[in-house]
Amino acid sequence: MGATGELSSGPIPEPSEAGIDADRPDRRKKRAVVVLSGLGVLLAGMTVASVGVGAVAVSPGQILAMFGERVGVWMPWTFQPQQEAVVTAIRLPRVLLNVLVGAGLSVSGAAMQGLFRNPLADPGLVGVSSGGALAAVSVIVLGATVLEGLTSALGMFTLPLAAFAGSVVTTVIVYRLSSARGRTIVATMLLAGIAVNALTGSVTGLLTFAATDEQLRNITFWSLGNMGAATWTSVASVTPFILIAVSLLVRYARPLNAFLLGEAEAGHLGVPVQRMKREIVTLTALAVGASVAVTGIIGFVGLVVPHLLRLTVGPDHRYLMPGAALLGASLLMGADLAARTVVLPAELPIGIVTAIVGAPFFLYLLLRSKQTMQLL
Amino acid sequence: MIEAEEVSVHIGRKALLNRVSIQVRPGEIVAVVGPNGSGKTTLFRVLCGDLSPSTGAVWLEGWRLDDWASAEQARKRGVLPQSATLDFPFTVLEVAVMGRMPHLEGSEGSTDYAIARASLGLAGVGNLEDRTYTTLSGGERQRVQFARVLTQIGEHQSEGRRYLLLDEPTSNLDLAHQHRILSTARGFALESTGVLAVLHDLNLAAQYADRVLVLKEGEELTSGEPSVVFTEGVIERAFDVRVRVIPHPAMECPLIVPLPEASEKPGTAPTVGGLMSGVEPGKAYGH
Repeated sequence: MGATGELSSGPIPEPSEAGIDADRPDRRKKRAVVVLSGLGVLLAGMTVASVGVGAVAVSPGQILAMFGERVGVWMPWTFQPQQEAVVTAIRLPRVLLNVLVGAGLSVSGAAMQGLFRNPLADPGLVGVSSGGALAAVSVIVLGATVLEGLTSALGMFTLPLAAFAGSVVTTVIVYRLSSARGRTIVATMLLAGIAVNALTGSVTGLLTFAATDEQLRNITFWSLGNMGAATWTSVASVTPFILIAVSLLVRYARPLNAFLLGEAEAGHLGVPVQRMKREIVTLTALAVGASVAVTGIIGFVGLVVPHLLRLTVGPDHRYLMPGAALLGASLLMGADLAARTVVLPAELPIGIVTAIVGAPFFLYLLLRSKQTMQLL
Repeated sequence: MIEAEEVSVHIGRKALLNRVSIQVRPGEIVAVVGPNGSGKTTLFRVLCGDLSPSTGAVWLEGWRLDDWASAEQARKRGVLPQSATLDFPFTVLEVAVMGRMPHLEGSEGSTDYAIARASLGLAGVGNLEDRTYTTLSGGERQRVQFARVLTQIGEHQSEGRRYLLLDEPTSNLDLAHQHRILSTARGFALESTGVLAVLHDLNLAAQYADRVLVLKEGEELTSGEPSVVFTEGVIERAFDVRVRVIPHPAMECPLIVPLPEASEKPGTAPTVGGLMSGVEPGKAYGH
C-alpha cells in the first residue's frame, strides 16, 4: 500500500499535489480521440467503397464528380449516366440505411449493456426484435386473409409499420411486467424479456408452420435481415426514429457510467434513475424497432460493436457511444458489401454475414477475457 | 442534520424496523451497531433514501427526503454501500472521479482530478490510480469506493454542511486500513461533516463514534455516548455473548473483550459444540 501518510491533510489538496500528473487521466481521452477520428476515417472509406463496389463499378473520383455536379463544383472526373442512376437510386439509399441501422443497433446495444450492467446484454433482450418479428411474420402469413383490412389500408407500409408496432408493444409489456410502484427491477426485466421472447418466438413458429412456400421464403429473408429493400422511402421512414434515439442516447453517456456502479449508487450520485431507465428503454425500442421494421433482424451488431470498442477506448460511455455509432455504421456497411458481392449475381441476407463473422469473433473475445480474468 | 423520526419498515407482517429514531448532526460520527438481522442495513437504506419507510419520515436539513431533487441530495451527501459491484474495466482514478458527477455539467477538469487524487490518498489507494478496478482485491475496491464517496463531498468547506453515510466501511479491511478509514471520517467530521457508519466492530465504534445506536430485532435497544452505552449488560443483551468491558489502556473509551463460553476452558480448541454456539448463540446459554 502507499503509506503516503496524508491522513492529517484536509480533503482539499495542495495545488502542487494537483499538478504532478495532471496529464495522466488525459491519456485515455487522447487515445479515445485518436480512435474516434480513426473510426470517422473508416466510416468515410467504407462509404466510398460501398457506393463504388458492385456490378456497376464507380471510382472514388467519379463519386466526387457526381457530388460536385450536384453542388455546382467542377471535378476532373467523368461518369456515365447509368453509373449515376445506380448510385442515386440504389447504392446511396442502401448505404444510408446501413449507416442508420448500424449506428442505431450499436448505440442501443451499448446503452442496454450499461443499463443492465451486463456486457452480454443486447437490445433483443427486452423483446424488441422478437416482437417486431412476430408482427412482421403475422403480416406475411395472414396479410391476405385475416389481416386483409390492415394490408389494404396501409399498403406497402403494412410490414414495416406492423414490425415497429410489434417491437414497441413487446417492449412496453416487458417493461410493465418488471415495474412495480414506479420502480423497475432490472433482473426481473431480463427474466420477463426471456419469457416474452420465448412466447413470441413460439407464436412466430406456429405461423411459420402454417405458411405457404412463398410466405416461408419471405419470412426467412426477413428474419435473416435484408438490406435489398433499401429505397429512399425506407431511408426517410427510419431516419427520424434513429436520429432522435441515437442523439438522445448519446447524451446519457455520463449517467450510464454512474449506472455501472449500481442503480442505488447512481441514484446517490444524483442520477434520476427511474426516469433514465424508462427513457433508455423507450429510445432503444424506437431505434431497434425502426431498424427491424425496414431491414428485418440483424443480429450480433448491437452485441459485438460495444465490446470491440471497450477493448480500445475503455468502458467510458462518453467515448463508447459515439464510437459505437461510427463503428456500427462502418461494420454494417462492410457486412452488406460482403452480402451483396460474394455470391453475385445473388445476394446473401445480411444477418447471415453478421452472424458468421460476429459469432466466432465474439467467442474469441470471450476466450480472451477468460485468460485475462476480467470481463470486457 | 439528517434525522429519522420513528421510522418503521414492514415487509408483509414482519417489522424489519420498528419506530427507530436517529439524528446525525454535522461534526459528529454516529455509529449503528447490532447483531446480524437487527435492522442496521434497513435503517441505513431508509436514511439514504433507497427504501421508503412504511411509517415515519426522514429529514435532510429540515426538508423531507422526498422533497429533495436527487442531484441536490447528491451534492450534500455521499453514500458508501456495503459492496459495490462494478464489472467494467474503469481505472481507479476514473472510479474516484465519478464522485464529482453531481457537481459537474460538462466533463471533469484538473480540479476534479485533484480532488479525486486527494481522496484516493486519504483512502490509502493513491498508488493504485492507474490500476484497473476489476483487477483489485476486495479490500482495495472498498477503499476505492470510499475514495469515490469522499470525492463526492470533498469540497465541503465551500458549500456548507455535508453528510457521509457508510455501510460497514471496514468489513473487508485489515487492521491498519480499518483505522485509516475511520480516522479519515473523523477528519471530515472535524470539518463539520455529519458521519453515520454501520459498524460490526464494537471497539471501532467505541473509539471513533460520538454516539452509538444499538439495534436489536429492528428496535432501538439503547443509544448515547459509547462510554455510557457499552456496558456488559447492554452488549450481552444485544449480542448474546459474554463480554468484559474495561477502560482502553491508551484512549478515553471503553474496550470490549469477549469472554470464552461458560462451559469452555480457556485455550482449548473449538469443539463442535463451540462452533454451533457461534451459529446460534442463544442455545449455548441454555446450560
